[in-house]
Amino acid sequence: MAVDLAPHLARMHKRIGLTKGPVSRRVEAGELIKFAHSIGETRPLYTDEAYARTTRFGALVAPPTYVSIFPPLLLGVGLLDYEHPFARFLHSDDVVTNDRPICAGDVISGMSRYADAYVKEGRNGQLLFQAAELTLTNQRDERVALVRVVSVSFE
Amino acid sequence: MGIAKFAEVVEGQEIPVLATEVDRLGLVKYAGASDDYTYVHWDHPRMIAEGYPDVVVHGWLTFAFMCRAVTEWAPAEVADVRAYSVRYRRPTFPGAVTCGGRVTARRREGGVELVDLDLWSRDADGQITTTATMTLAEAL
Repeated sequence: MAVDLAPHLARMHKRIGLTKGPVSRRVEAGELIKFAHSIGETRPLYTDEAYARTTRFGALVAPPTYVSIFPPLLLGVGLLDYEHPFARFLHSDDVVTNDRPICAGDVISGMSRYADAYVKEGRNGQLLFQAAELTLTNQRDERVALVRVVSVSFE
Repeated sequence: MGIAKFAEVVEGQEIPVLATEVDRLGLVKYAGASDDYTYVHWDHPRMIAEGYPDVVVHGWLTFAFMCRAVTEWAPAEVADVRAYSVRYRRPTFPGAVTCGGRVTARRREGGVELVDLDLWSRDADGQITTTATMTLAEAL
């Protein structure tokens, strides 16, 4: 018999709007280079500071998915609800708006907000989704990205 | 072969396929670089006990390869990655990863030239694991 997720969903729905943060990170050139290498990115815009300074960015620029370092920092602090019966989970969706580049030397602050919880019927049973939204801003208080992350838990 | 100018992009254009390979060491490197230490990406015994054939590639890493397919075709000198929406349809396991996509639309919004893309990633068995839509803006 399928697990009754209704009480868990009700508890999760009370979390909608809950915020965590801010978490702040200075973006170091060495970290950007390490991140670039870990995704197989070797072009000088992402790995050579002297070259990057000659470009329109004026500094090493973060690859488009660098925003991915923020969800672990902001979701691993009790934002998502793991008090439900499903032990296994995976990543389901990412929806991102990049407003401005993130460059070496920037100080990025992130806030996260519990956005949604819902259940869908999957191929092998119930799927429990939880969504969080992260807003990232730089040292000039400009939004650099809005990131919506969805995780899925299942039996 | 990449484009030199945003104006070269036309609807229906295919993005050159990026073929790469990811192994467990690559996942450990990505975990360190991205600060993502979720066990599904490195704890092989636990994942086997949970019924998986292997550890799972970080979704963001698979998508980073998809982004590379895009930016090696339309580099930062030409286009900005304005927005994207990624759907992880099934887990990607270590092995061959192939990424590609095509241009679905060209449009102009608020005076900015935009291009919409549909992207995909396939695993070693040729199954599509990840799909995404993306919008590029002309770099100014």
